[in-house]
Amino acid sequence: CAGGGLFGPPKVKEEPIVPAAALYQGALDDMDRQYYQTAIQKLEKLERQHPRDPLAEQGKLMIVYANYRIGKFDEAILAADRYLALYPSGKEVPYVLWLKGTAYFAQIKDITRDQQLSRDAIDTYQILINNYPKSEHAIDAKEKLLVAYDQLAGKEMSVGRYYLGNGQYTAAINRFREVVEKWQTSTHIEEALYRLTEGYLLLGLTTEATSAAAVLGHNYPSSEWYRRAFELLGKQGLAPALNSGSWLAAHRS
Amino acid sequence: CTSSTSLISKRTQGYEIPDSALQQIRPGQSQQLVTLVLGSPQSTNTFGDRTAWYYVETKVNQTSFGLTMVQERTVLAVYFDRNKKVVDRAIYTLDDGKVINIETRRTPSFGEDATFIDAILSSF
Amino acid sequence: AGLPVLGVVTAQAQEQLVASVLFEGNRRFPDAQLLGMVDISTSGIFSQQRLAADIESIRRAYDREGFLSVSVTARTEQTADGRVRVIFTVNEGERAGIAAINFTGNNAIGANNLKGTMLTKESGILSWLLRDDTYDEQKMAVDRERIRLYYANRGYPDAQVNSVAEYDASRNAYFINVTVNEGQRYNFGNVGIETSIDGLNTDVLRGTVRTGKGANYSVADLQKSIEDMAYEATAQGYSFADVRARLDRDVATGTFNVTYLVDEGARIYVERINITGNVKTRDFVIRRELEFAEGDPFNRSMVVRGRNNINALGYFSKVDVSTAPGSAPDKIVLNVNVEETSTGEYGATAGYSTADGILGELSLTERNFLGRGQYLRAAIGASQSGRTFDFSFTEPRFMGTKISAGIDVYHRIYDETSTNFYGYDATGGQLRFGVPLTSALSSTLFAGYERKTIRDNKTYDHDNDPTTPEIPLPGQTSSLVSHGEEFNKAFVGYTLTWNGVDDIKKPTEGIYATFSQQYNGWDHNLLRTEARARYFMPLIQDSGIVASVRGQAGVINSLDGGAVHAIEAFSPGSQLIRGFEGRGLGPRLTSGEYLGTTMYAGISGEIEFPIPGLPENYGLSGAVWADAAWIGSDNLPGMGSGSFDAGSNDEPWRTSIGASLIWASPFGPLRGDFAHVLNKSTEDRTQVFQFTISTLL
Repeated sequence: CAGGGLFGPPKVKEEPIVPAAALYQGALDDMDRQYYQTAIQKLEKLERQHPRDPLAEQGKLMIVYANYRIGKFDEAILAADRYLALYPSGKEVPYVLWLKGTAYFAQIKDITRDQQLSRDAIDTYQILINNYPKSEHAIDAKEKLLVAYDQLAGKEMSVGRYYLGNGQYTAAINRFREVVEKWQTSTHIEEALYRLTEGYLLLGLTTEATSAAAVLGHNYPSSEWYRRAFELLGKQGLAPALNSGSWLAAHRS
Repeated sequence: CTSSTSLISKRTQGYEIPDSALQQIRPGQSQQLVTLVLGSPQSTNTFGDRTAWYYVETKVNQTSFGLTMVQERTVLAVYFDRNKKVVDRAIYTLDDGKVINIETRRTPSFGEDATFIDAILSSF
Repeated sequence: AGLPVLGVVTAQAQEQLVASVLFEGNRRFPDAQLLGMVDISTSGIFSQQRLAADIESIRRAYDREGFLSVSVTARTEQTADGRVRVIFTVNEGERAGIAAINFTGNNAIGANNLKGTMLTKESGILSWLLRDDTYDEQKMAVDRERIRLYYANRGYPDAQVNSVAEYDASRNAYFINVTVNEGQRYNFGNVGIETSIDGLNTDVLRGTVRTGKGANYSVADLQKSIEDMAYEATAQGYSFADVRARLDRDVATGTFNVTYLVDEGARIYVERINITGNVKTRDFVIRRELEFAEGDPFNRSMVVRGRNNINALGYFSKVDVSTAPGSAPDKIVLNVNVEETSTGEYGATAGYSTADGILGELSLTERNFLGRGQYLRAAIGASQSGRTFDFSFTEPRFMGTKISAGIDVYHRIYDETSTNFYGYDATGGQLRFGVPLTSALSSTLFAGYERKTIRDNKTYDHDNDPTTPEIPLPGQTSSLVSHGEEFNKAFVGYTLTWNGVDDIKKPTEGIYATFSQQYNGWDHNLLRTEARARYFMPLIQDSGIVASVRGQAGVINSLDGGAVHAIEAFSPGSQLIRGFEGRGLGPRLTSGEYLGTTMYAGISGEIEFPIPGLPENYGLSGAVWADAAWIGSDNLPGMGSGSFDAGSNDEPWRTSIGASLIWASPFGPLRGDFAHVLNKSTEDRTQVFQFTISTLL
């Protein structure tokens, strides 16, 4: 608008060219003093002023690391993508992949919310594990992958429990079946089998209920959920009995 | 706004099983025929080489302030043998449903469930 | 040797590093913003193609803002160390505005209304701020469609609209000429409902028809009737009910006969409902707004109703519902994607109300607390005559039903001022339950407790000599209550609300009414009953002029034969009749102390109209009104040691007329009322101007 010229935003001043090594070293010193924000500014200047300098690759990696350290996850992910695009076969790719995956992982929401961040973390860790299985980052990625998978199973459970409590038993059963079929290694598998027992009982399908409880008992005999299933069936005068080769039996590990 | 101009509205939850269809399901029929008559199953189950298809129809009355009263429920289970032919058919109704109280404890899960304070701060 | 080897080498030599990127002559966009649009600065490598691309992206940015005559050039200078300095010079020129939008062929609907529906606006005093006067071909295409739809909703289904824009270089502005071919005017003829579903009760369905015989042809009403009718049919237990409308045109009489066909749609079931985008809101808060679950029949009207319910939550800026094929031909997957918006507000408002003078409030409101859809509000208010502390919490879906449960707790301090004879501290709280009954009728049940402690000991330094004791304000000790007296009130009650208006924010048609009864016990034993109703009616078709008639009445009966204590009496103010000071209306004691009343009634007629000439988006409108109010004085509240001043109610009927200016501000509609009182009781105190928040009732 008209007034902009008078007291408008400051004009971009001409930046003095600082040698690449000085910028990079300055950024490292800043990071030692926990001044990550100023370090990032120096590294970005390095990237801009010396795009062809051999230090640029290391500088880009440091930008990813610095953003990750101060919790600016979206910026860290963007910087990681820039690094991966420019140096697809760089020696630091596993570490950058790990930083990117963990940037997603750190933002994972609880299971009552959208789990898109878990899926992003899974995809990134999957690339890391498939392409660099021997790298030390892959080991940690595998653990975090399990947790992220567990979140997806947790989301199904939370929706299933909502439908169960709301009286829509068939919708609930289908959600718990999804967990039993797709996420057998998740920590929710025991509860999923228990909830199937509940759902089938509520519908009156007693054979299906006893089968579900039987599989739960067979695979997880000492589980708290099996004890509850046993009691639940006991109250109805039933006992977990494996119904002649139920599909659930196919899960005998 | 809520349901309808009247106080009570009738709803069907789950599958609408036409009465005529119930009689048409007889042992020996193929899965294609059952799908033709009843539609694809709402929920499925397998027992070793046998599979089971379930169609659940629940008639409810809902008041405008959200109280749902179940009027009747029909659970139709169709069992198929190894070569996908109908072996058995079972119908369960509302009174077959067991009355249980649903377990409230849950498996703990990861993810920051925002505590009171940062829920307030994060919302601004 | 001059030949380049395979042409590759030359490209390499040209690549130079950038020393810096500078901008000259730019006023509309600050340098930082332009830096963002330019690729050279981020990549640090200079090349001719990048330079050309950057010039084009700057030019396009200016073009979008309406600077059509902008010219962007760039020059490069070599710096000492062999790098290149890039300087972009921008010659913005003047913003091209829109001098005038002219309409031809619009004999049924005025140009002002048509301009109101368009996104493109003529240049006006606020254009530099709103920037809505830039000419853009896509926006113009949208505007043509909006005008066509405006006509189709007002009796002209065949209207055609096209527009031509001429750029006048001398005035650097556009002239837009919109030509409308309205076609024949149509009303709705007779309306029939046919169904192939046996057992479907079609008379109930008739209630949802908005395309009554003789009404203007309207696409929107037709669409709404179809949706509501399908929804009504499903509510009778026919899950697959689907409605289509067959229109047969009768050119001679200029009518469309409508036949609604209610049939069984395809038997498709919802296989799965995926809810995405809810990073803060919990899944069940959205899922519970859909009145169907996974595995239930798929019914279009229920999906539309669900989407509207999710939208109505007010937590999302965007709600997209899309379908995808399921695992079987008769299965469908529903994808609900939401985009959350901020639902928390720190409020710091300052205001002025004639009753309390300058007032301020610090408030913290969260409409989607912890993502559970709960409402939380805490506010601290202060005004010249007191301080208030309020806290309130609401759970919209109590115990899984559609009943909302809430709690309010407050502590309010009212100081003794020159107008009221005593001040008091009120501490209390209440529980409330909101029970929706039908789509128009809803009810609220409430119960609570309140303790009032009277403060009537104000003294003042009469001889401004601090050593001498102060004396009470002359004639200010109340004869109704005494200092330190406590009143405990336990109350329980209900309110019925009928909301039949078309749009709650800006009603133009329909009735809005409330009826409430409240029993006050403990130190009192009385029943307080109040009823209010307001009927809205558009006067001249689409002129935006709305007439409304409001009736209200209230009575307090004491249940144990005793008198109603003055502290619980009504003190009717500007909400009953305009033109009177706060507590300046109705029975008073001879000492001048305000007594209040146990019975009142009032009727008021108002005509609200948009101010001609002012564009709609300023939100200003005017109103003329006439109020009449009756205040009974046969069973007055208990007068304690005072005696009734007959002059304060010798004329029970008060009437006043006046005009108001209404501004639809972000805090709600603010009103400035200019009132002239026609007749009143001798002791009533009038005032000409009043400043209030206008309420619906």
